[in-house]
Amino acid sequence: MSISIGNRILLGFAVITAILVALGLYATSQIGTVRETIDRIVSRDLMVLRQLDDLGNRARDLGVQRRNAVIAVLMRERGRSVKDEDYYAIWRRTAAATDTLFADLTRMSGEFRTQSISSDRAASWERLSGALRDTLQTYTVYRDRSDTQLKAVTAADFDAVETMNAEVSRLYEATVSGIDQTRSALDESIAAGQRGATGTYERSRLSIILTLIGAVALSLLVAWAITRAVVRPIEEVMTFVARIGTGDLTVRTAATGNDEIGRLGTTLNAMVDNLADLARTNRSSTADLNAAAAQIRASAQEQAASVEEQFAAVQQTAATVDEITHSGAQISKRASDVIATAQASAQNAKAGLRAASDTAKAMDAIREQGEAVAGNIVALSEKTQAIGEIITTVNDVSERTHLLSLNAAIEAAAAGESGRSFAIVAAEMKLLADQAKGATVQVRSLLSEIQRGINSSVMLTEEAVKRAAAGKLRTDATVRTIEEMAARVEESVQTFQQIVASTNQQQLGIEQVMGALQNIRQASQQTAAGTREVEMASANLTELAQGLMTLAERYRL
Amino acid sequence: MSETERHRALLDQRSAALAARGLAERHLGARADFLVCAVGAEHYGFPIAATAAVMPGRPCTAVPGAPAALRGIVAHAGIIVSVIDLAHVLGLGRNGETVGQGHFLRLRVDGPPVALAVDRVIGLASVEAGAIEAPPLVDGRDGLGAEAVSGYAPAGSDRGGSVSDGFAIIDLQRLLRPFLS
Repeated sequence: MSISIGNRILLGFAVITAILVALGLYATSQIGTVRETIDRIVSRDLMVLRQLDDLGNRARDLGVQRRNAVIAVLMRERGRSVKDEDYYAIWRRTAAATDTLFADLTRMSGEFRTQSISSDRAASWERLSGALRDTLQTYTVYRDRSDTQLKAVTAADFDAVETMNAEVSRLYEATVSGIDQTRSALDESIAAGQRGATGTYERSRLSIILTLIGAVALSLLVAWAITRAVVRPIEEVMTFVARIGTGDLTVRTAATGNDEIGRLGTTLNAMVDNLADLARTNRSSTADLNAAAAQIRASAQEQAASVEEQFAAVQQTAATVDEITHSGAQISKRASDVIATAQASAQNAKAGLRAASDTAKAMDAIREQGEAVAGNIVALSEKTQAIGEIITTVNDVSERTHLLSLNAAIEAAAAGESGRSFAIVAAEMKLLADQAKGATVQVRSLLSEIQRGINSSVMLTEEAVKRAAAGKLRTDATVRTIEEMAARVEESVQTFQQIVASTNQQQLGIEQVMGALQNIRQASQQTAAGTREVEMASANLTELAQGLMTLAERYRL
Repeated sequence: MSETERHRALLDQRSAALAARGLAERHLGARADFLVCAVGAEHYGFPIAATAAVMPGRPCTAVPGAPAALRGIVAHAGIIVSVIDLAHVLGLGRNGETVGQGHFLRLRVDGPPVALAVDRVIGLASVEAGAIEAPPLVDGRDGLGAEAVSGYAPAGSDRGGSVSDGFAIIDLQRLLRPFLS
């Protein structure tokens, strides 16, 4: 069903138009049938009517010619001269034409009977044909008699003509009346034809009316189909839009095809999505607004409370400032006393500074002397080291001498008795070497004792030097401390002088503060009034935000 | 104690020693002279006739494949001398502790020249032959490393006065037998 709405409507109009065209064509064809029927009836009847009139005229001509022949015989009989004419020949021609007419009529009536449009009309044609046959028989007798009479006329048989005349006249009358009857039968046929035409017309009208009813029904069907194809989706979309109107943004229309309604549905779905986003944003914004309004209200209330506190604090501050004014005067007086005391302290500090400087110089002298002693002791220690080296050399010499004496003793023993005295010298040498070695050992121990004493002296001297340096450092620190103290005292004097000046300025400032506090008090009162207004406004804002929340809650998401 | 006092004490001690020697020599019998060496805490004496020279200890050139007791070889007075560690030979187990120190005692023996490495050659001891005691026996056998000891000179047996402690007398033939055979 992806035909667009316009195409559906156009298709409906096309169907209805086609129905109308078919209806018109059918009606036209029915009218043609009626007209053809009427034409056929009229043409046949008129032709038969003309033939019958012609036949009547011929029959009368035959009668007139026969009468003229009879009258001529009679005149001649009476002796009157008459124009000599061949009556018989004329009559013969007329009779032949009459026969032909009869034959034509008989043939036509037969044809028409078989081609008649209705049984009624066929029956009337049958009657006409029967009347025609009766008239033909009468006419055949009449013609034969007339022929005989006219032969008698030609033969101038007067008597014969006389006797036959009455019969022939009666036959003539019969023939004429037969033709008239045939004419009246034709009238019936015409009436039947009229009835047939009327029937045809009635049938055509009935069929046209039925077709019209059918076309109307078909048109109604097409209209219903159009309604169904166009109106129902629109109603669905309208229902969908109505639900959106009530705030239900959760629905989506299913009409999403390629036709106009489908495109409208797609657009509406997108619109609903956007509306839902908008409503969601609106709802969260409104919630935020509500929270913010509540915060503003709470803040305003807090502010009102703090303004009250502020007001009380300002009152307390005014009282405190009064006390400060009183204590400021006392501060000024005490500061002046402190200045005098501090100036005396400064004098004492200068005396202490001189004494500490002398101490520092003495410490320096002690340190220099200690360093000189240490240098001497170090020189002494170096000398002792040299003695130690000499002792080492002596020890080495004694050791060599020891070995030398042993070798000498060995050599002496090897020499035997002759080396005896040499052995004694060798033993003497060994004894000397041993004694020298023992002496070096003693000297070495003495030297180590001296070295220990020197080391301890060096350490003690260094300790003394260090202590003197530390004393110098401490004295310097004392000097710096006293200097700093003196400077601090000076600073204190200046500070207290500044305090006095500041206290005086403070008194002036406090008076200004009192004025300012008065202003603050007034401002606090104004602030309190303003805070109440802010609180009322925030209350209104909260109500407004809640109203907005209610409005936003209408949208279901 | 002053320097002069100490010098005087040394001279007095020396004079007393000289005086005692002269007195003892007058009534002495047959004596034997021994060169006494110190190895660790022990003292050993060698007959002076078996010694050739005493020299200061010095580093030795090691000989590959030599016995553990052979410390090495040194050159002395133009000849190659094999140095044997006496402490190792006597089983005292102090080998290598005194390398480069101590004294070498060159021996007068048959065969290649040999020197013994000792801690110190103390001096010459002159002992009376009757004062020499037999070596102590443990369970009827010689003590550990005592197979080379031929006798024992007790303390105070030195008439020369230069060796105060007692010492063991070494038989060099027995001592060097494993090295000279």
